[in-house]
Amino acid sequence: MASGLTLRLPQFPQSAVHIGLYTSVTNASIIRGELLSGNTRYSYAFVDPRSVLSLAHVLAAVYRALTDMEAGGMRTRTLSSEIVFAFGGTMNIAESLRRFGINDDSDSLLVVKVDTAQVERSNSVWDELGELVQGTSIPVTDENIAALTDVETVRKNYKIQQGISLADRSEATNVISGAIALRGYL
Amino acid sequence: MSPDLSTLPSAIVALDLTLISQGAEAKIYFSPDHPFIPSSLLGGAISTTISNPSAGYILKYRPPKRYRHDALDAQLTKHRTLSEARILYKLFLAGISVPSFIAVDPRLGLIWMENINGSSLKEWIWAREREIEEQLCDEGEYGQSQKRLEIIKPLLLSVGSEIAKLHFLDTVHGDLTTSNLLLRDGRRLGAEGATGLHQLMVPEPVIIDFGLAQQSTLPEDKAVDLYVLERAFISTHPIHSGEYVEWVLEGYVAGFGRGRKTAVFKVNEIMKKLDAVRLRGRKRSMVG
Repeated sequence: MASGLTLRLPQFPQSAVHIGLYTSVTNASIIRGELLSGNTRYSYAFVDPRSVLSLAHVLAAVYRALTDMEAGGMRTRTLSSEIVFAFGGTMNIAESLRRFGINDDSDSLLVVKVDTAQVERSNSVWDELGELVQGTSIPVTDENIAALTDVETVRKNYKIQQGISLADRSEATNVISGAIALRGYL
Repeated sequence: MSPDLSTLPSAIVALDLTLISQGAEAKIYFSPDHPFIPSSLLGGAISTTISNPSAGYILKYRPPKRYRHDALDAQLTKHRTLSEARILYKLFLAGISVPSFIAVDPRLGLIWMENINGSSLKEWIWAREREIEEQLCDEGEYGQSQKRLEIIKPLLLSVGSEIAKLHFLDTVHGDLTTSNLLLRDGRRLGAEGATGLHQLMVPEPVIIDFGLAQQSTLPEDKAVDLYVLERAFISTHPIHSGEYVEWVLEGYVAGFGRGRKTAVFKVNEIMKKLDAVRLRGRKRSMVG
């Protein structure tokens, strides 16, 4: 069974960050429905990869959500929803969840799960996700993420002016990671 | 654990941090690790990393000041941290040469940014002056001054130009000294066949430390910024500071607004103010 990426952020060594990437997803609307009805089995951050530039981009959002959680300053109810919200550059929660989260028409998904220090995991996160997501799990690499990015969606969602080029992914990640870090402060 | 670090979350203290500089306001730490990109990903599998991973990262920390009232201190720390972070990010967006902004925690007073591997302008000039003196001690003053023109002037022109970009965006640095101008490797200077200094690189100036930076449209504030730099040159490079300042200002005027009409007017205003500020300066007697 294909699995995703598990890593630890240097500043949060006790928390395991699991990242999965799925293509040919067929049940996006079902997942979204379950999320909206608050089904706790679905406590993952489901992100639409069209707005994602790179792994560093994902980690910037995870980092923001984790530091906000540590500081007691989360704006949404769960860490998972906070991670999706963290992708956005604005304080408008509903808007960010809509833009960056799973949509009914999402045919690919980037999924993040953070197991904080207190969590005891009995099943593999990939097994659990495999049951929830009807799609093909592919390796979580920058190349695979890049293939799913829609640069115009990124530009629109982050309101980046036409003058700033997004052609260089490294530069673009820099721009967006800064916007994520400064959300609510700019 | 040093008393200042003890106020930070244990996870941060656990990082491999080395104190490299301490000011009145903040402590600067070097970290080989990125705050949220694990080293296993940097430079390896991850192709779209932020900045140059091998140079490491800087954590700027404004510790709580116990001599201040708690609420006021918290507010000041948060405000100054945010102000600096915002300015770093905006300048980066505008294409100015500053360290890349990575992350900020205003409550704790932390800023993460890229580390610039390179000497300060101060050290670079000292090194070049020493080299010139050693290699051309026989040629006398004219030969040496020609060398300075060849080697040091181009760099100072680009320094002036970078500061001009900053001022054109109505941002003043607040603490412009030759220690706050770092140099990272840039293009090569000189053709083959030049003298022994031919392999010298003309580095790229990077402006650092925006802890005292502010937005200002006033020519006066920009003139003061330049004057502070001028005094810094006089203090650290007393012999040739006249030349050096002249070159920085030349680069500044040439680089301001890239020669657009409205820009020329503005920069003249700033230069006029600079003359006035010089007259005012410290230890200046107003007695005719």
